[in-house]
Amino acid sequence: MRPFGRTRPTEKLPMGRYVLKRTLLMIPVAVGATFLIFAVVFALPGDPITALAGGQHVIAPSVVDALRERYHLNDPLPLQYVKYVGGLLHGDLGEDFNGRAVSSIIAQAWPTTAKLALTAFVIEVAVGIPLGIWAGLRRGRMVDAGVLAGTTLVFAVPIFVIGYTFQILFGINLGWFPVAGVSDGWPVSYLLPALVLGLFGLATTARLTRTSLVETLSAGYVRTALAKGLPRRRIIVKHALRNSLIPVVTYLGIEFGGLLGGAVLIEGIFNIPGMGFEIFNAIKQQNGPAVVGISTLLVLIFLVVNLLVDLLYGLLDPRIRHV
Amino acid sequence: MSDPTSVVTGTPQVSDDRPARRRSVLRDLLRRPGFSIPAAVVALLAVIAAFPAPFAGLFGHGDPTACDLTHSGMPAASGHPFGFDIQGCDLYAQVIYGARPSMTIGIVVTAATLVLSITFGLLTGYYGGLLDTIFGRVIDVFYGFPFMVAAIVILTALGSHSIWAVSGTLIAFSWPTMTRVMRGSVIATKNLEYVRAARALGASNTRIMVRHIMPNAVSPVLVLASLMVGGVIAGEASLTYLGVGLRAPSISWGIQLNTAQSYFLSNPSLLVYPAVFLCVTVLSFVLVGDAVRDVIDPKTR
Amino acid sequence: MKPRAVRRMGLVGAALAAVLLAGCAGGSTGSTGSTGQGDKPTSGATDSSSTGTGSATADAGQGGTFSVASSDPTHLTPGNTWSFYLESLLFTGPLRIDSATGEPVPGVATSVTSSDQKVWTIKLAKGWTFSNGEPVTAQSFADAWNATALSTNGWVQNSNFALFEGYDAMNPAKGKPTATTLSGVKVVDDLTLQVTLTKPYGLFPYVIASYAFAPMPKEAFTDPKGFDAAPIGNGPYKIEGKYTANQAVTVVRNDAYPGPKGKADKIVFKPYTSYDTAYNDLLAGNTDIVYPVPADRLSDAQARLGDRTAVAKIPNLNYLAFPLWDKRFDNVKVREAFSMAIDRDALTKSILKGAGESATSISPSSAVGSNPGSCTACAFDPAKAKQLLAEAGGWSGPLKLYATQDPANTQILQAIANQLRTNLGITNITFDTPPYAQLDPQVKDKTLDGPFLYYWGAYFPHVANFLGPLMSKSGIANDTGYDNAKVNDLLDQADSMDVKQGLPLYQQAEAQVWKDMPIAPIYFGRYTAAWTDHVSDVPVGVNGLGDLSQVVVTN
Repeated sequence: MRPFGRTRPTEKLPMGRYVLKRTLLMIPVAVGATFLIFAVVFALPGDPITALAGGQHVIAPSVVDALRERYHLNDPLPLQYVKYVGGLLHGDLGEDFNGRAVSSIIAQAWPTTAKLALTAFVIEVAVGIPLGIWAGLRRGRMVDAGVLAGTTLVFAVPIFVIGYTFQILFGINLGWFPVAGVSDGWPVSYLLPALVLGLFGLATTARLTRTSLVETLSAGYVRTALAKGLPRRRIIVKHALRNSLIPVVTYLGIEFGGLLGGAVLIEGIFNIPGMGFEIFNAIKQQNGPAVVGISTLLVLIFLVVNLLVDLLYGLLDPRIRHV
Repeated sequence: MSDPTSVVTGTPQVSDDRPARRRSVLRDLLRRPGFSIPAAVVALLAVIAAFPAPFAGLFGHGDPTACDLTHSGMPAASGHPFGFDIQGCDLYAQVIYGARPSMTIGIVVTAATLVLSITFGLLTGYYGGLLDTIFGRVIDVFYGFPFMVAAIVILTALGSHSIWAVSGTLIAFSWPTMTRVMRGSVIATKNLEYVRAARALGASNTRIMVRHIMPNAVSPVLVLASLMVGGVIAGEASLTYLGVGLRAPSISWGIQLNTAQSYFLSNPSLLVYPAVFLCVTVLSFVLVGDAVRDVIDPKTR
Repeated sequence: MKPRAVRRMGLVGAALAAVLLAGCAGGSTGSTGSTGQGDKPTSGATDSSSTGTGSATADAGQGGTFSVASSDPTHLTPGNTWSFYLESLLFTGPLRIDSATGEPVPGVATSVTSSDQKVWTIKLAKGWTFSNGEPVTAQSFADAWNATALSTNGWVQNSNFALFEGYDAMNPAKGKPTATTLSGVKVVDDLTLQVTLTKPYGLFPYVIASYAFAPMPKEAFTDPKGFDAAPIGNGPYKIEGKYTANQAVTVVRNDAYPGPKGKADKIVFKPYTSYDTAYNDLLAGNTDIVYPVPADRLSDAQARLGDRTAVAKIPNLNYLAFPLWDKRFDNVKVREAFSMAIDRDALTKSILKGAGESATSISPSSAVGSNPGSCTACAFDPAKAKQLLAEAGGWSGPLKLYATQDPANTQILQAIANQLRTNLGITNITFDTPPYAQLDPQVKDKTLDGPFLYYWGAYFPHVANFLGPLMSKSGIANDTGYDNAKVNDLLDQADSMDVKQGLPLYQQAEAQVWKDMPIAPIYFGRYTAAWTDHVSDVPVGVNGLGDLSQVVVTN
């Protein structure tokens, strides 16, 4: 059977056209994702207006009816979707069921999440990669064992356990970091949560870097270069590192996108009002418009990040650019 | 991962003697204590997960549902090596029975994800073209949702809290990452001299993919998979914490960790025992994975 | 991997694990903050009783800023929010509930009187103004009440007005409202209001002693959205800036307030979703008052903070409701058996760790008219329970229990399930804790197939506000469908009488309820407040925290 298309390793698309092609492909994906989210959220069982009362209070039935009317909840699902898209095209993300404009929810939450994600990412890269390199260079020795053991511990203990433990240990007992909230601003308030958030990614990055480096170092061309008498450091930095970083870059790109929206647990424990926090509350309250609005934004961010990662990947490994 | 060796030296690496290799792989593995010890632990855990009753009964109080509130939170006593949990159930029995759903979810999800992503990664990386584009977009759609959020939404909509619902959700959000990595790895491998040589020799696509590309491209994915098991089990615990994963009256380490969190400071043993078991499980899987990779990766033979 | 590496890894791993776990264990023994002396424990004793007399009180203890942990209010319009502490500082209604005694005391009104318990005359004091200078008149109250009572506004405090004449026209079951004002509310003159109820109700003063009845200035209606974020109130404090979701709200003392002036210069309400985090912040000194303290931290709080904790007497009930539409629960003996099989004391001690008190009546002892022990089937008696169940024909088939999703609820439900299994021999018991939004519709539709654990928080500490909403036919919290003509009559009669005279009738009604056992009361939540040594004179009473305007900043 012949493969679809033909793999011509030497053919490359010019960068500009590649970017354009990928950007255009983003659009149907975004639309598809949004509709899926919308359908799932609004098809959720239970009444979102009742959810506002949360089980601790009672809301008069007449008020529940009035609110349902206001948010078109009595309309059939396709009609609700059409009205929503109509609003979107006017740049109106709508109001959530609490009466807050979704765009203002996003405008407030987004900078906080961005700061948290960036800080976590920097920690992952700045600590994970050097740690992995160190372990890879000292394969089989104490450092390597330490890195492997430490990273395994990170995977084994669930993140919220780590979160609470760190909060109590470093925040309360040792007083090195603020315990919760963002009142001390960036970076002070964000350091501890970012550390916890990035711990898993850091551990994975370190391991991946180590493994990749170990493999690359044992490759023939490296051994040849060593045999030829080239300085070890130069070989590592100029040849081995670049190749060994390829899977790491792939992983980090994916990870960054994940950091942006996935910090639900951390934001809850450390009381950080970012997007993960907002969307988690929105889901719990079945606050449809908020969930859809924020998710749409997250989809778009992710797609852009993916595109950038692919471009970067193409730069690092010129063989791949034809896709 | 990619092996630029052959580009420089020009020597094709075509492997041939399959049956002998398989036997020797297993023998190689068993000879290493780095594999056999953790593999034994994994096997033991698997047995515990499959047949919890005899292990739980070792100290005479093997019924995890025989709970007496007057024993709530009490420390270890005779016949109760771990003490009691908040409900007054024997903690040792609870932890033993907790192995089953956690192990099941961990293994099922990882195995399924591995199979899916190796397959998809091979196909999309090798063939490219339209198939790759479509898959790429599908993967992108999955990426657009951060895992937690999407998992919450889906599990809430499904309404079910069974092991299969949770596993399905975890698989659905794990395969994109691994497929992407596999795909990247495949792409880097397929243009190497020896692959081109194999094709020139007339090997079929399938043979090329399975015999030449896969063994060389698979190691980053294996690393990820060995790391994944713990992550999956922890992921199940996180989903349970958020209220959408497994729920009582199921017994799982995830549920135990969540409960323990509320009683963290007054009864730390509720956290320690399930956490230790979890740790040991993950460690064993990782060591097994490392050993397997060390052996089958042709570059390190 | 080489064997040596494995061994090394094991050692390092064990060391790391030890460090991590030591961190966990160390949390409870490390200490921060001093257990300051000279801080009097208060249980609402300093809550002053009269306001609105027009005279300024002493300036002793004024100054400083303190913070309180809170939930995000979402809206600040008094008729559209649940945010009790914040609104009570921003607005003053006609009356207030005194935190220590639980009685209604004057707010803006000097008197609320009636001769027949149906038509009430509310006289307001002179000299009250909003923070923008506009005088507070009877019309300001009428405007606010009409807006809250109108269904199309969709304000959550709407149900408070169900007693008022004209409410039904503004809240029709179908179709659009036919009126936009309450026909029962009449503005007699600038300082007098006349309210007509649909039927005589002696506890009316208790009902209006809530921020939900606060007055609103004209500006609230010209710019509702702006008002919702930066309300203009008549309370001892006013908002600084405007409210943004999930951000702290700061209020600053209103020096023109005619009642007792606030002590602190500023109060900051910090939003938290997790009170575990709030308590951690308190220990680190970042938040001054936390209420409620999570159950697991109670013993830590009492050990660490000593007399800087106090238990509130907020009137509430957690109960197991029986689905009276389900034939399996038709026989009262089945319901009694279930109730007797539950060991409430063990529950409150081990699961709630003292954050609850076993319930043997419909209301806790802090509520007026309570009758602890009146529920005889609430006493733990497993032998009798088994006997009653057998007499009723036993139980066959599965049993499902329900509660709303909440960590404490899951544990309690599990404990109840275990006790029913052990004490009644029902083997096939499962339970589920879906989110409220999924559970409640099934309850309201009467399709739920098992008993459910629900919560009722009374609006004021009186047994009438338990019996009425839970047990009368039209009660807003009557989810079981219980309808007993004798009880309905007794409650109607008692409601229509003067407050003191109605008590015996309420108790008779309660006695009848326990003969029928539509619910099994389980526990009254007892929530603890904790504070740092940065503040003193923290009032804690029947509302949870009392009047925060009287909290003194010490350093």
